[in-house]
Amino acid sequence: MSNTKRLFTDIGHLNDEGVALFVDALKLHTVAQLPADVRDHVADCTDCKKNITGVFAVVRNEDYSLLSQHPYLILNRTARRRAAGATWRIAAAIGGVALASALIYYLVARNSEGNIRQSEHVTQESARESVAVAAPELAPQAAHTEQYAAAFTPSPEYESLVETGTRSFSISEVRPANGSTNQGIGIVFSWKASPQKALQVVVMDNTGAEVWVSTRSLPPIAGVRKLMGGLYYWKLTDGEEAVHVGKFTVR
Amino acid sequence: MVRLKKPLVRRIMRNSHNLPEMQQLTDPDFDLFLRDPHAVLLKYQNLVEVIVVNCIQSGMFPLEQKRDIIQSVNLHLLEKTDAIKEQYGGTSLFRTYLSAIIRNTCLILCAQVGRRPIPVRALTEYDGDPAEPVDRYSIQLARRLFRAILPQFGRHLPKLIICMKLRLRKGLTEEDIRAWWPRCSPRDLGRLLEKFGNEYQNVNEKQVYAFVSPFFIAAEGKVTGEAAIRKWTVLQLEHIADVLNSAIPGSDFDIQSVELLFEDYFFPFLLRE
Repeated sequence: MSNTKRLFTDIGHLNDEGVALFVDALKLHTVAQLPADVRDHVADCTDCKKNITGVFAVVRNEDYSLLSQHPYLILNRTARRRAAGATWRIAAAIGGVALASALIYYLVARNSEGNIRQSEHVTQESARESVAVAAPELAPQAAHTEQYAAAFTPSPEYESLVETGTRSFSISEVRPANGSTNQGIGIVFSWKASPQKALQVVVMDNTGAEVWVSTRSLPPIAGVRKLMGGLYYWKLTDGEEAVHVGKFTVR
Repeated sequence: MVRLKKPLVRRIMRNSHNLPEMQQLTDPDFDLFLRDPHAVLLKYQNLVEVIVVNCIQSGMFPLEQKRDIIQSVNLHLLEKTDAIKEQYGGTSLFRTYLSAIIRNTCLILCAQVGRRPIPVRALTEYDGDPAEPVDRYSIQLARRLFRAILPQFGRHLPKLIICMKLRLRKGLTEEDIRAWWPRCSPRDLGRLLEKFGNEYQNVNEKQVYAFVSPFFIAAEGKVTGEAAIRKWTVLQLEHIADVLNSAIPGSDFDIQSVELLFEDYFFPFLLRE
């Protein structure tokens, strides 16, 4: 039985903790990580939306950007990479135990039977070792694949902003082109603007977290931060408003 | 920066559909609250003040009662110490959980005082002229809260985006359609984008819904007519207005003001704060 029950009241609405968790997710742009039953209930419940929005309203100016960890939510790509790295360590430990068990079995079997039978056991144990070493790799690989795929999930909030601009500016010949695929290093940002003025490039990942901000200057601006694989949104800003919003992927 | 202890195995084995079986992750603020609740309340006095000021700005209390309200909130929190210790499960941040408790306390106090909130000017009264003395608080708050409400629609959000873009005659994108209808065929996608990919102000509402209704039937796998699509859309607008009016006591959001918020969402420079 799912233990998300402790996030709900007796009558099936979110309790204070459930509301607080949802607000945390809104502040940290991680709503997709919430338990499915929490998301599904809120999607259909206006009363819970009222509570969540009411609490969000009072903490809307609280700064959660320095938060590095959360009791439930995975906060950023760095944390996911740490989790993936830890998964590899666990897999290596399991593989080591399996290998040790196979070796012990081999030694015991060797002592108790003749040479011909021993060679058969060696063959069998080699196959088991291969399986024991290979099998754990599937688990971390699957986890790594899932986490890698999550980095490409479009953000509903930013998707609607792509290729929007401002009435006071005309932007054309923007690079990187919207939706283009790029290498993680050496991305050059360029544009033609009317009126021409120094602008700043802000690059965000698909959770909305800023990953790189340039100084304000005329085009072209070379991105100096190496980006990991994923979907990125970027905007040109004159310091007051975004004059262009675009997106690209890194593979 | 809050640093939390986390057992490695629990972190790796966490399933996104289930909470960890044991709460091994502890918030240091909650640890402190268990030992010395007064110390935590002292630490969070700034948060209490921020929330009370928010409530005052929304008209729940008069400004001159600020100190009294803060005192009342603190007293209420101290009285609820045992309940908080028992009920907090460690799934959310303790400070967010405490914020929810403080807000609920303010609502209780407001109900006890019986104060009628000061009306906040409805969004539709703002005609978009940045030179006019504007109610920056209302617009800024409305935009922030609206953007917090949309993710709460969860699986309904893609359909809501489609329906609102159609209602406001905004161009649909391939991402919009695929998010709402993942199995949309290339042919249907092409037809929808051809018709609604750019703005189509000269198409009346009846024509829009007549064209799009068969696609809704195909996408949702159930019979749905133009009236049902229109009704569902209006219902969501009413829900959003209801949520905004609840979050900002004394406000008067209606369908038209929520439509304006959607316009701003699709074109974020419409409302200048």
